[in-house]
Amino acid sequence: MKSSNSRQGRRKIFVWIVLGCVALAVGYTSRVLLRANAETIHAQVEAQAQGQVTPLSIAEQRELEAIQNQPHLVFLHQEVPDYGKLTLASLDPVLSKSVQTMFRCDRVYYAAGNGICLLYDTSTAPIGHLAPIPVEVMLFGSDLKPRHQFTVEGTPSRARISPDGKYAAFTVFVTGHSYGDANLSTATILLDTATGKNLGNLEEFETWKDGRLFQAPDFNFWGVTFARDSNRFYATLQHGNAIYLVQGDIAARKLTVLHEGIECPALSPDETRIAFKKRAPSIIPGMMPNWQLTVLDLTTMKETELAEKDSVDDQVEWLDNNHILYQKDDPDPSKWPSIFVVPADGTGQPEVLIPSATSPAVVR
Amino acid sequence: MYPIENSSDLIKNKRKHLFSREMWVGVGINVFFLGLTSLLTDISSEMVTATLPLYLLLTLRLAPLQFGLIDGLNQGASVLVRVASGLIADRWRRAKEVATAGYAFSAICRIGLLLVGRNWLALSGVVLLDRIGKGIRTSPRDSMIAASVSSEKLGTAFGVHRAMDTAGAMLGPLVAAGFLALAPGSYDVVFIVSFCFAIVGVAVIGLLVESPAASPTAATDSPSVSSRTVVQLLARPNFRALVLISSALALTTLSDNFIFLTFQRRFTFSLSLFPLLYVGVALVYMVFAIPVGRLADRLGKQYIFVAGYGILAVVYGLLLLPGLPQALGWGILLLQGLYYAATDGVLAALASAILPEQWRTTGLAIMTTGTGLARLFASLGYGALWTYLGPNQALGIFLLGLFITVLLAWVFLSRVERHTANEIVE
Repeated sequence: MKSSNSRQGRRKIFVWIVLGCVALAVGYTSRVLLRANAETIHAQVEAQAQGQVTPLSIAEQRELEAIQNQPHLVFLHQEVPDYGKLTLASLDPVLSKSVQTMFRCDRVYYAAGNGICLLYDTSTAPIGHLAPIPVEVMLFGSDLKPRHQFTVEGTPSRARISPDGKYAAFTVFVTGHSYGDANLSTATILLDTATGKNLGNLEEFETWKDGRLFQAPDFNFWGVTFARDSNRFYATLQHGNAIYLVQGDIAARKLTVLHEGIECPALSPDETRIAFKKRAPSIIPGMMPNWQLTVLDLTTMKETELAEKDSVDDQVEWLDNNHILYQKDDPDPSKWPSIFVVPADGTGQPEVLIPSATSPAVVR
Repeated sequence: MYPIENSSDLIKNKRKHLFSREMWVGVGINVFFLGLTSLLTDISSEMVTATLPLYLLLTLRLAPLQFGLIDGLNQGASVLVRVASGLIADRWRRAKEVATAGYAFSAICRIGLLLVGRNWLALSGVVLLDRIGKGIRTSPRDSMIAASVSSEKLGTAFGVHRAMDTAGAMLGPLVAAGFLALAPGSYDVVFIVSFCFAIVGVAVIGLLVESPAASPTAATDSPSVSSRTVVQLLARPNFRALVLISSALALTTLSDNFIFLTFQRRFTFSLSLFPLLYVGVALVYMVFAIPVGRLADRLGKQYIFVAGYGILAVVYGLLLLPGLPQALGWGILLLQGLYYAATDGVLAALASAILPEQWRTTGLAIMTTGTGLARLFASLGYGALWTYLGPNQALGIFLLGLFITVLLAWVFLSRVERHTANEIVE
């Protein structure tokens, strides 16, 4: 009799626990639904995709235009809740004025009145850890409003605009998450900024090596950098374990292999040097390689290792002909990456230029 | 005329019947409640598994490499605590309490995810704790399932449990998707609801499941349980053979990820359809778990178990076969689900049948530790073979290995049956 009593008692407790859990689930969910009007990152991203970025105040707008009329830096703020907010800062003197906008990106680049923004599309993020997340690709102007946009699947990686603003290029990982992954697959796509037209994946271009057509199904391209004559560009080609520097011709839809071992090239403003990350393979297969920032002199073909000795996985940006900017993760994973500056001739020391920021673009 | 019974008696009898061993496909309400706990817990954990990478990436903005490390912790952590929890459960005959503690552990972790925020170390700690909870609860729970039914119904009982477990695993991502559709980007809602499911799961095992009574034979010969038990158990030829065979088979088993990657290479389709493959296989597994379990009880568990791995060998073969039409390709998913139905719960039933009741939890823990480690080595080995020799060569080597192991398993396991028969005669 006693055991059946205690069994009944336990059933009663069980019912109360179930009721409590239902109340918690319903209560918490409705509380979140009621705060739906509040400023959530998600709501902003959706608004941005529809071209409705929260406007700046009149004073901020004036400040923004003042910065845009002189040499300035464009970068992305990193700390939550301002994660990914596009920020403009004056260059002379550095950071004397800055304005944070409500426009968000995961990778950005800007040149000659044209910008490209890669943004994870959180509104349609799928369930399941193996499915790629959709990425919004947006081409925008100085008013920070998207002019052309479309969705690709993958992980945002690199973005560039040609110095005259005519072309844009971007790279996403289709599979894999880093340039060290064994099963990496990338897509690098060229765009016409005026029309938003897709000019093709670099894998569709003809590749030439030592005067012969060079083809393989495992080709991966990434890291486009444009020359001042915007028809010419440079990029990285991976075939098997080999990494090549290729020179591209947009009009001829042609790529030529120039040199081996150059990854994520960035052409200097005077077009005499290429800064890149030099890969030192890791001893253990499957581990991330180590990348040393290096500058290649295009006339002497001499390589100079820069003073930054930590591994850097970024396509760098030239601040001027003597300094480069790049983003580097903090060794503490709970801290945000920052933008560093280092002399381009191997001297000096790396210094933090902008803490908790990524994706620098120098606009002159 | 039929005698008219007192209606309250009738209801009482009916209620008695509801909670009797004969109900619920003849395995009793206790197995059903244990299945319900797993169903609720799997809804809870799969809600988190399906959304955690997105939460890390989109809300916390942790780099993929960092959550690769967290994934790695997922794999190995639970192995460490399995045998210890088995020994504790057997020694103090507290399978239910140990299992409940394991479920409670994981429930707390759901809240922990929200509390730790972007602190990567604490986040890894929470994931680790969740896996430890899983390691703690699995063997005592399986041992309770075994103790809740008579030995000729073990296959069916584990079939019922695995079917419910798989149903939960399938529902979890759907529930998460539903809540994310309702409140986009609000991962905190997903975690809170997941916590609620987990707590109800803990309440089911803690308050509704009965500790199965020890059989009289187990009470009489009750030897003491100590760390030496592990050695004593492995000294028993039947059990040792089963551990060796199941581990050897696991050593040639590809993880779902690898099967699906190969599948995707063969029949090129969008990676965004990947989750559908998991759902397809789980659906087949869920539907066939009970019938295959019954078949195992009727025909002999060891035969169904080895046949399951035979089916897996066919899966490998089909993946290697050139010129296979896409329509037949979907048959591979059906076979993969059947393989699960014939091996996962059936192995637990097989082990439960040959293990002495008082050492059963420890025995089950030893076996799952063996197969878990073997599976980990299989993944590492396959990854290396894939990288250095190529995908087809790697699969070919695994097919050859699996084929040989299945043949050996067939020979050894028929002997196990004769042994068991002899022991009963003695």
